[in-house]
Amino acid sequence: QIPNISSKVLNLTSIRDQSKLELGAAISTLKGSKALVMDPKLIGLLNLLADPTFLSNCGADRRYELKPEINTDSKNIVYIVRPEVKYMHWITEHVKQHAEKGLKKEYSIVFVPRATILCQRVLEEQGVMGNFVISDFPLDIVPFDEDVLSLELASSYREYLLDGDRTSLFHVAKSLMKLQAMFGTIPIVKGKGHCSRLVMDMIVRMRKEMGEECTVPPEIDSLILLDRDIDTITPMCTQLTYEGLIDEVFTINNNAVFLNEDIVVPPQGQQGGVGAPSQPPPPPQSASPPQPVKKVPFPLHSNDKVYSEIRDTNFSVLCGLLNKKAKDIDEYYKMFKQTQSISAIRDYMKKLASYQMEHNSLRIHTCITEQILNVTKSPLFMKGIETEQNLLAGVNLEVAERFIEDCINKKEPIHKVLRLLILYSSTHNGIKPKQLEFFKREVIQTYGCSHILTLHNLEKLGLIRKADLKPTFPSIRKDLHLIIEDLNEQSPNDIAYTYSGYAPLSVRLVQSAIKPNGWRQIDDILKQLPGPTFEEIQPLPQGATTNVKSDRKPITLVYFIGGVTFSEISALRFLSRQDQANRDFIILTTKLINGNTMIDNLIEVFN
Amino acid sequence: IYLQEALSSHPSQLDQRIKAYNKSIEHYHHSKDKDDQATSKFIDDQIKLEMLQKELETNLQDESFVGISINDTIYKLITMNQPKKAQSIRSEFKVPDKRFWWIKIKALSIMNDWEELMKF
Repeated sequence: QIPNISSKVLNLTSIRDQSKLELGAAISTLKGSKALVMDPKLIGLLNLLADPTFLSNCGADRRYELKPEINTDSKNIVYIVRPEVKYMHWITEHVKQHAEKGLKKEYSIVFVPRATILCQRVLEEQGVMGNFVISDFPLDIVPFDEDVLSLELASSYREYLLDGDRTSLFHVAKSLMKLQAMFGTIPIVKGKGHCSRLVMDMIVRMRKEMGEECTVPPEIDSLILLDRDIDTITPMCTQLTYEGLIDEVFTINNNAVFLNEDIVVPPQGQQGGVGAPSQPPPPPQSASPPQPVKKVPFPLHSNDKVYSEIRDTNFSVLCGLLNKKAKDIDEYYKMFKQTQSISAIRDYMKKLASYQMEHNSLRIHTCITEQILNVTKSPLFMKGIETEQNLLAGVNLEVAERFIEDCINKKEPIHKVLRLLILYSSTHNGIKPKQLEFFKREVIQTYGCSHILTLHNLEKLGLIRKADLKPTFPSIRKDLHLIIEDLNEQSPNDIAYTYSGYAPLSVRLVQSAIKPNGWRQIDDILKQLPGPTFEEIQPLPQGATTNVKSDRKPITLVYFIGGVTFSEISALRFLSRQDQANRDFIILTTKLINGNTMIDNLIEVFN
Repeated sequence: IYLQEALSSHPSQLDQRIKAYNKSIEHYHHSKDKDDQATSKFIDDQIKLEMLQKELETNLQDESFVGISINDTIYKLITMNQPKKAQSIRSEFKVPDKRFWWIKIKALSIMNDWEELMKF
C-alpha cells in the first residue's frame, strides 16, 4: 500500500519517517494493548504512513472506524480524529455508555493536527474531559508519490474564502517551514493570489521569530505559490488523462481507488499466486463498512511500473499503449521457448517475476480502462466534453446553455450542472442576469431549496456571477495560448494534451514563471487575475551556501493552495520532461481535488 | 443569511420553519441589493411549496411530501395518478414546459403507463 518514495529528485522518506515516529508516540500515550478508533476520513491517510505491523508494534492490535456506537472489549481506547465537534459528541456517548455498564476503560484522544479549544470545551461541558489523555499528532505533509505531497485539508478552499478562516493558511505556512527546515531555505519565491501573499507574510514572520536557523544547504531552488481561485476554470473541466479519468469516474482517495473485488483479485488458478504481489492487503479489520458489492482498495502510485507509464497520458492513446505493453510481455513469455542454456534460463527467471507483476497490473488497468470506456463512450459524456470545449473556446454559447438546461431537466447529478455553470461563468466573465436568474430557478426547483444557499456560496466566491462589462478571459486565453488547435495526442508537444486541447491556466502560469524573464513578461495578464503578484528572494542564513551541484537539475516546488487536480500534476510532469524547462517539479497542495470534490465542499445539505 | 441556516436545519415542524423563512425574507427585504430581493422570492416560493405539500399530505395521506423539491413533488403526484394536482403545481410555480415534460416522461415510463405516454 505504502508507496516507495525515496525518489530520484528529493528524498521525501524523511518526512514520512518523522510523521511515523510522531504517530507512534501519540498512540503510546496509553500503555499496553489498545484499540485504535480512527476518524473515517483519516484511515486512508494513515494507511499511507504506517502499515498494520507498525501499528501492532505500538500495541494497537485492533483498529476500528469511528462510529456513533462502539463495540470493543479492549481496555484501552485511543481515538485518532480531526477536531470536529460531531466526533466529540460521539466519543462522549461512548464513555457514558461504558460508565453505565460499569466498564472501566482508559481513553485517549489524539487530535490531528491539533486540538482546538472548541473541542476541548465540548468535552468539558459534557463533563468527560477528565477521562481523557489528550495529545496532538501534527500530521501535516503526507507524501503521496515521489513528486506529490498533500496536506489533505479538504475544506481549506472554503474555509478561507467563504468563512474567512485562516487556520488552513497557517498550516500551509507551517508545512513550508517544515520543508525548509529539512531541505534548506528556498531562495526564490514567486506567488500569485491573496492566500499566497498571506502565507508568504507568515513565513517571513515565522523566520524572524525563530531567529536562529538551521544551515542546511538549499536543495529546493524555487517555490511557486498559487491560489486555487486564480484558476477555477481548470478543475471544472473534465480531466482527460488516465489518472484524471479514474478520479472522475471512480474518485481516488488517498492514492487508492475502490474497485469491485473481482477486478483486483486475480482469478484463481492463474499465475499461481506469483503474479499477485501488487494485490493489496485487506483493509483494516472492521474498518470497512459492509458493502453490497465488495469493494477493495487498489493502490495507485508510481511504484506500479505499468501505471507510472500510463497515468499521465491522454485517455485517447491509452488503448494503444496498453496493447503495446501486452505485446511486450507476451514476447517475453514466448522467449522462454527459445532459451537454451541454463544460464539463460536463470537470467530469464530473474526477470520473470517483474514481468508477471507487470502482467497482473496490466490486467487490472485493462479492466479499469474498459469500465471508463463505458462511461466515456456514452453520448452524454461526449456532449458534456463538447460543451466544455465550446465554453472554453467561447463559441456556440446557445448550444451550451441548452445543454445545461437539459442536464437540469434530466436531473443529472448536481455537481455536473454546477461545474458547467461555473465554467460558463468564469470563461465568460459571468452569466447574463436574465439567464442566471433562469438557471438559479431551475436548479432550486429541481434539486430542492437548500441549494439557495449553495448558489449563494458560489456567488459569494465569485464562481458564479452576473456578467459584467468587460470580458477578460478571451484575452487571457489568447495571450497564454490556452487553446491549442492542432494537438498531437500521440506524442504530445504541449500541456494542452491533458484536457484534449485546453492547457490548464494554472500550469501555464508555472510555465511562464520558470522562463528567464519570468512573470514580468505576462504582467498584463497577471493583473487581470485576482490577487497580488509577488516575487521575493529569501536571504539564506549564514553558513548555508548554495552548493548547486552541476549534475542536478534545479527543483521547483509548486504549492497549490486550495487543491490541485491530477491532470494538472500530469501537465507539470510533462513540463519537467521537456528540455526547455530543465528542472524537476515537486507538487505540494492542500488537497488533491477534482471538480466534484471541490464543489462538494460548497454544497449545503440539510437533514 | 444566518436565519436561513436555522430554518433549513429544522426538521419537520412546519410552523417553526415558516416563521424562520419569514424572518429571513424580512432580512432579505431590508437589504438593498437586488440579488437579495430575488432570493427572497425563492424563499417565498418555498413557503408556498411547503404549505401545498402539507395540504397534499393531509389530502392524500401517509405520503411524505414536505422537504422534497418541486420537481420531485410533481413526479410523485404523477406516479400517484394525480395528474391534475401535478398540473396545478406546475402552473403555480411556472415550471417551463420542457422540464415538465421530462418529469412526466420519466414518471410515466416508471409506471409502465405506455398508453398515457403515447397520448402525451
